[in-house]
Amino acid sequence: MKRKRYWASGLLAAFIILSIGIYYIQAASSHLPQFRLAALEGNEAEAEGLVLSAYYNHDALGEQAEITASGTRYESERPFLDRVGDLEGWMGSVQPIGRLTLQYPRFMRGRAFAEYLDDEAWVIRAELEPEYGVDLLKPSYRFRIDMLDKKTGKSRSFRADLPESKFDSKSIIDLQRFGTTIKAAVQYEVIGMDGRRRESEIRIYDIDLNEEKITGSAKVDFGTSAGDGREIRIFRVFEYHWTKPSDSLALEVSVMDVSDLESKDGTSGGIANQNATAVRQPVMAEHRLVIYHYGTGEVKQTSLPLSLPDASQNLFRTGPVVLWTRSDGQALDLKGYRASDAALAFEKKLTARVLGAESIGQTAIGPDRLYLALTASGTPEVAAVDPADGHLAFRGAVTIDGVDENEKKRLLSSIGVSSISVRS
Amino acid sequence: MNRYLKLVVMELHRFWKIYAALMLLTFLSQFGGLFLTLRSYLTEVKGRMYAESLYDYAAYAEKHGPESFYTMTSRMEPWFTAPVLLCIAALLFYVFMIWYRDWFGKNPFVYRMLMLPTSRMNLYWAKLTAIMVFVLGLVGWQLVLFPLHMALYRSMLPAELAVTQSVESFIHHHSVFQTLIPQTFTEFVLYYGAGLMTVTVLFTSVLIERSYRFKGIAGGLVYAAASLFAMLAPQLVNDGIGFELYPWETFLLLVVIGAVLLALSLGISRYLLIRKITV
Repeated sequence: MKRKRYWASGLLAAFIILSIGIYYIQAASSHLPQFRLAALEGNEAEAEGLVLSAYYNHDALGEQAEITASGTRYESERPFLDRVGDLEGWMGSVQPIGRLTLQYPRFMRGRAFAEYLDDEAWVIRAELEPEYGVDLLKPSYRFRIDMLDKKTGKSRSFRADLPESKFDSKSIIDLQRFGTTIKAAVQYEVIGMDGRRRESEIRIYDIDLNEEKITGSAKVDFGTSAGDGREIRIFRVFEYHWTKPSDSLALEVSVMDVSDLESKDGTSGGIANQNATAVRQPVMAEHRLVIYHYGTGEVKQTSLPLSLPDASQNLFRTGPVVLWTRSDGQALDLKGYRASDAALAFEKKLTARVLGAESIGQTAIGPDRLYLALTASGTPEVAAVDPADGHLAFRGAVTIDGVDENEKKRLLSSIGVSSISVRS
Repeated sequence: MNRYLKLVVMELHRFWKIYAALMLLTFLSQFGGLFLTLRSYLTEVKGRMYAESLYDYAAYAEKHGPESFYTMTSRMEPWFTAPVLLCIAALLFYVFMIWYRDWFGKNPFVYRMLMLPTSRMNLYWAKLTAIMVFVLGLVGWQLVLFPLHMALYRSMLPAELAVTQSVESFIHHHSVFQTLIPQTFTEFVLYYGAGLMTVTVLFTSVLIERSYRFKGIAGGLVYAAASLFAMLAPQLVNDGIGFELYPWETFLLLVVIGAVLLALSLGISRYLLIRKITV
């Protein structure tokens, strides 16, 4: 009887080891297909750093994957410790912050969501800190500046009071250093209960690093302001290296006609008007590119094409060029503006037919290229455009090695690219 | 070692009927649920084929697409996961009962156990081993059941309506099983290591209660709560005081806290078993 019990216990132990062991050995030895991004035209090095976030559909399920020139990394196949230790991936959505976190983990701890400047000598961080007095609803604000000396690794911090203002929303959108002065661009907005921007402006503050206080400020004047039936929307033009030094600030300014959204009695929006505002959308009346030069305080601007209902449009800055793109999936309109004077440098139209593709998908900006995701013969492809003149500099396609043509076709048709991005 | 093994075998034997019942229940619920779901799906398919004048399964699959094993189990989710959750609840309950049945059974068995001419810690190790064997046995059992379920799926559905799916990809996408059977062996060791630590904390709470009776109830609860608080500390540091830890720091801290709690629980249990619990 007792011997039987020992046998049963031994069998249970063997069963556990075998079932779990075989499962993990099998899981470790089965690998998903290795797709890679290969060059069709142009230099293969252009594909380096390019990441296609994709879904590989197999077994009626989707596997999250990242396809690069060197292969495919599936989320489900990543070793646990690799996932835990991936600081850059952790902050992946904010590209330069991931890199700075890797380089300066102590300085970056807990402060990813701030404005940064990464120049040759310093990493400078600026945040607006609220300070609550008697009226808890109306705090006063001050700049908190943290500076890391790259050479010595030492950091210093100081605070400088921000002047009182009528604006309820404030955020730093750019930071530059000129000698011992920091220039901080602050976006101010008065936002109504209905979410509409009653007033918007950009103000540049000079902060002296020796005196540790604000020594001057200037409003960026782009010659228009919010008013009856008008709303101003301002966005900093997206830049790949947005933490790197620049002598100018590029802004996208849209004047929205919201008169249709206002109720007849002159009041606007609010809860009473919620249903109406949900149906009607503001109409873009003006669209501008505004360049503010930090050195001279000069403002250069130019009109941009208005947005179209069935097309997505983007503005990117890459060094001396600001690119405007508009795509409806079949054609991409591209205009390049000089960042020095906001003048049009070139314009181009890239159609899916000319590119030999079925459709044009997302666009993404890299350090010196504009990338387009394409689908050609059911296969994900990528095109890289030179921002200086709009010429096609590279064409690549997702491929897989070591399988026959039919299997290759089947596997490639199982991939769906959701976005493209560029890693430094 | 010999004494320890004898005690382990004894502990396994004491629970085998309930354990076998749990395994059987899991099999019957999952297999039966899948069988009924597949049958009802086939009836549904035939009804739609008739209504839409589709003459074969290929035409149906062309129009409506095949249904994967994953989708089938989603249709019968309670049949599939309820027995698993019941097994977890039963084993959690038995973490306490494995001690209390010695005291409150028909013949207070604990007196004999504590008088055995061996270290009292062997008793502790045997109970801990038994719990872990029960847990891992059920995990292994589930891993054996999946291929059987998939075989049933393939045998009942016409080839046109079936989708080949691997056990690994099914587990990775299932909300419950991806936690019970983690993606990598490293995670498996970490998850079940954390489970082992939790069992030692609960054992310590039971022994504190057995040593100090009424006062011990509060003591046991405080110890369990303090352990939980310690394990949540890295998250509290992140959220509460705004000192953001990087993921690998949180991970390392959790491993260290877990190891300290394990050692502490073993130390306290040893002290209580040898010095405080008297026959």
